[in-house]
This record gives sequence, structure tokens and C-alpha cells, in this order.
Amino acid sequence: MNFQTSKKTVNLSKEIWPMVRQYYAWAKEKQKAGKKVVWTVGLGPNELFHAFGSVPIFLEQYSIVMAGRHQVTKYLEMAENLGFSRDSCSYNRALIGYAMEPDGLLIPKPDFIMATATPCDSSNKSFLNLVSRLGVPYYHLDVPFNRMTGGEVETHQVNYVENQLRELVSFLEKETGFPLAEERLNEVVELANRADELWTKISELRKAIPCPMTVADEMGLAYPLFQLPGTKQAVEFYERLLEEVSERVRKGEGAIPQERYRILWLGPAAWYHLRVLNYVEDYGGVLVKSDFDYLIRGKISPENPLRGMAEKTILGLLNGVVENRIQLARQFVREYRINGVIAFSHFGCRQYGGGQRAVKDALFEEFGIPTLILEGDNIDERNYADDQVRSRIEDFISLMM
Amino acid sequence: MITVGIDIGALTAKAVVIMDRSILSWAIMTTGEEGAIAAQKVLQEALEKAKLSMKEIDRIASTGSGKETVHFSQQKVPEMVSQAKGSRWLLPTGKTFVDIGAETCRAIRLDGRGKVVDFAVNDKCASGTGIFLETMAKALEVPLTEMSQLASLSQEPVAISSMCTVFAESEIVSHIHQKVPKSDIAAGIHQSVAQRIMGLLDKIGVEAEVGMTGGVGKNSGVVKAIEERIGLSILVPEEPQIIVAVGCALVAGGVDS
Repeated sequence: MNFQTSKKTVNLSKEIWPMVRQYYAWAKEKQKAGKKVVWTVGLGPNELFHAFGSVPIFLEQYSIVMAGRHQVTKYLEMAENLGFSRDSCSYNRALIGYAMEPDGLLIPKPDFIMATATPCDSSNKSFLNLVSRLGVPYYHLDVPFNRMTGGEVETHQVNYVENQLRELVSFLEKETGFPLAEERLNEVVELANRADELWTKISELRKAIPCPMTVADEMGLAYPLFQLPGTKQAVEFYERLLEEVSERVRKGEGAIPQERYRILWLGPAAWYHLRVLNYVEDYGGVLVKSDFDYLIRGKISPENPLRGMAEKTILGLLNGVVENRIQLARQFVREYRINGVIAFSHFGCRQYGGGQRAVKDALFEEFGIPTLILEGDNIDERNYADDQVRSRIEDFISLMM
Repeated sequence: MITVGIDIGALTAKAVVIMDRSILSWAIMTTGEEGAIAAQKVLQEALEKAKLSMKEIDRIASTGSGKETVHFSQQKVPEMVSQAKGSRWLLPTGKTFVDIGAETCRAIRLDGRGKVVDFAVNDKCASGTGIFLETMAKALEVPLTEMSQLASLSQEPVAISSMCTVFAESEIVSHIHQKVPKSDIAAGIHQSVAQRIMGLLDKIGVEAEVGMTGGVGKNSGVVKAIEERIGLSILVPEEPQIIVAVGCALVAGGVDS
């Protein structure tokens, strides 16, 4: 199989991989200089780690990088040799592999570990294997399932997470040896909010026809949002991105000469073969937006940063009733003038996979548009069959012809 | 206007010559290793049957998993478009159609105008396809063409896994060892395929009338097993294998079905 990366529309997309590589190298240097490295699994308050001057490494994102470099299979096989089933989530298997051979990684070994219960409710268990192998301190942030819709959160749930974040602050104070500097925290929150705001503006511009920035770009460009929230680097990068995307809209530059079908992408992608994100372009389709960035989005209240972070974490797209995903998809279909939807269903995933049918039915009922549920693995390239994927996408486009 | 539709499938290549909406001739042969060569040969045979030369053909289109290998075709038609067009030609009032080929089974639902509104396809698994049936017939040591007749004698069909061809094959061997009548095993195989197809049909919802195309349509045992499950009769054409190629030829001719 000839795996290929995606064709990008936006120039700044080229800077993502160097940025990732630099961050990992920088993390290693920082650790040598005495800063603490924290491995994080799931989506939690990365802002808090940046506020402490420690270096968070979002481990699923590392798996994405490894999949893109076709280097993750070795770690998957190591976990499988221990007896973990190939049917289980490949992200979890990869983590176990990393812990078995932590010296050969592009990232530094962790000084401590934090996992959250979102978006994967299994991480508290899968992570224990990693923790016991590495023998480092561990904090598990338990995020309750959000039962509310319309951006609402229940007070008792926010209290619960906020209390844990206070506990996490004590944990970090103990591990880093420094107290939390409130000024620094406020600064980090402001930067995180600024980056989120810029991302919102960039997303707004993508409603233009032709679409100036596709999902092939978005998948990489969302990286600072996940890994670098609360840093100047993220803000500066998104300022430049906003400029480039605005310019493209002004000039009327799209991804393909003639945009016939505007398609919404739900979920992450097959990171080892991102070219899939361009397949629709052969038929005049463009992937204009994904919901991937909504895994963790939103502003943090500057008045009460810890409470704000608690709210942001609870409101993560996959942490709650499926109605929220339906609402978001509906909003995208209306605002981005969507003709069809592709939902990528990662093998073994109980979060994204569960509920996709409900989203599909809701969108068909309201707008009469088709949804293709494309099954595959995010990082395990051994199960990928290109002919099948191409033929599914062709079938799907046929529905819109 | 005379058009040709060439359907290069995983196992067989089909060519159909059409004038307006009527079939002039058709040919079927094994695809073999080279889709391009099979396409040439199957076209040649179909033209000879119709007593036509290449010059008299207005347009050629190709479809199926090997459509790209047909270098001389002027149009590559997505398989589902061909299936929908051919199915509609076959049964204009039909809403639900299943095509079971050697390696692919696809269920589609059409609206009143013949537009596909939903579809479901088998994923990464040969069970429920023609290859599955062929493998099971071999394991049972019965010619594929005699399977339906044999199954019709069954008193009590046995359960066969519909999850995996390899496991299903070893199940059959073990049934043979246990002296289960071959007719019951054959009927169990048909039930297994039907169960798999139901998985697809349930996804899209069954609406009358129902039609079936593709090589497996020739197996009346499978058709009957599906009919029993959906509680509706299924229209199967005399030569179900060529319907996708018919649809392809109709698309090439720009014929609105």
C-alpha cells in the first residue's frame, strides 16, 4: 500500500510538522534543564500545565505523529504480544507499547502522568498499565458525563471537576516544587482564549464558497489548539493563519477549481493515509469542515480560571449526550451549506462510533442529505484497504449526483 | 444510439450492448489477472453476438471495481450509479435492490424518481458474497449450481456462522463429520448469506418492491431465504449478472430511466 499524506490548501499547513518536531525537541531540553514533563491522555486542562511551566505531551497526538511516520505498528505489536486484543482501541495499545520502550521515543519520558475520562471513558483503566510500567506519579481527572444540551452544564458537575482541579494544582505544586502563580495562570487563560477566538474567526471564513481551507488542512492546523493552549506560540500562529485564510477568501481561492459538493467530516482521520481527505476532490467534492476541533473548545472564564477549565472539559464534544453532536452537525450543515457528511468511525471506539447513526438519521430527516459512515482505524494501518475506502466514497458521492 | 456497458467485477467481466433501452447482446467471462484484457475480450464477444463492429458503437462506459482498467472506455461510471440505473430499468417501480457479486454485496434504496437515498455495503468480509457461497460449496463437495436444489430438500437447516468465511468452512467440515445431511448444511449456508444481507437491508430499510441482481441472484436458495426474512417476494431477472453493465450502458447513452 502506497500511503500518502494529504494535499493541503493552506501554506501554513507546512509549518505544523516542524512545529511538532520542535516541541518534542524543546520538551527534551526543558526536561534536562529541570522542568517537569507530563504525559497527558484524553483532553483536559493543558493550560494548567503550561501555567506551571511544565511540559505537557498529549499522548494521542503523539500516536497521530507516529502513525503519520508509519512507526506506530511496532508499539501496537508489543502490546498485542502481551495479550491485548487487536480489536481493542489502537490508541490504547500504542500507549502500552510506548511504556514498554520509553527510551526510543521522539518525546521525553514522563515525570508524571495525567489522564482524563474524556473523550475516552476507558482511559482510567488503560492508563494504569502505563503508569505501573513507568512507575511515576499519576493523577486521574474524572470528568462526569454531561447530560445537558445547548452548552449548559450542571453546577454540581462543575463543582466536582473544579475540586479535582484544585487537587491537581496541589499535585502539580508538589511535583514541580513551585506554587501556582496566579498572574501566570491569568496570562495563560487569556492566551488560550485568544487562540480559541482566532480559531473561531478562521472557521467563520471557511463558510465562504469556494472553501479557503479544507479538512485536510484543519486536521494538522488544529494541533496548537490541543497541544499548545495558553501559549504565545499558538496565538501568533493563528494570527498568521487568519491572515492567510482571509487573503484566500478575498482572492476567491478554493481547494479545487469547481466546488460541486460541500462535505462535512465528523471525527478524526486515518492518520497514516491522510490522502483519504482528498478523495472527494476527484468528484468535485470538498471537505469544508470537521467537528474534530470541538473535542475541546470554548472560552475559559478569566474571573475563575479553574472553574472555567472545568466547564470547558465537561463541554467536550464526546463527553455527553449525543444530542449535542446532532446540534453541532445541524449547525454546520446550515452554516457551511453542506451537501453530505462523512463520519469516520474508529475501530473499537465507543465514543465517536456510538451515536453516529443517530447523527446520520437526524441530518437526513431535517435536510435530506446523506451521511457515509466510514469504518477504519485512526492509527493502525494494518487494517486499511484503500480500494474499499475509495469505492465507499465513490458510492457516497453518487448519492449526491 | 448504440452504447456498451462493461462491468469489470472481482471474478467476472460483463459487457452489454444496448440500443435505446433494449439489450442487443451480452457476454460474460472470467476477469482473470488482467482487467484490461478481459474487457477487450468480453467486448469483442458481445459485439460478435450483436453482429456489430466497433465503428457502430456510439459510446462505451465502464463500471465495477476494475473500471479504471478499461482504458478504451469513454466514461467511468461509479458502480452504485450503474446498479441503480440497471435496477430501475429492470423494475421501474422497485424501491429496494440488492446486488450480490463475487466479493461485494450492496443494498440500495431508491426514491420514486430512481435516485439512491441510502445504501449499505459489506465491509472487509467475504461472508454473504459469491466467493463465500463458492467456498462453502467446495467444502460441501457439491457443485455450486446444485446447491439450491439440494437445500430445497432440507428438513432442518443447521446454523452456520455468518461472521467469517474461514470459520464457516471449518463449521461445515465439522457438520459433515457429524453426519448432518448435506441438504441441511446447504440450507444453513443459504440462511447464513441471507442473515448477512439482512444486516445490510436493515440498515437502509426495506420498501416494496424488491429486486436482486448480481451472480448470487442465480442461487434460488439464497433468494428464497431472503424472501422469507423480509416477507416480500424478490424479482430476479433471468440473467442477474449483467444488470450493472446494463445500467452502465444506459448511463453512457444518457438514457433517463
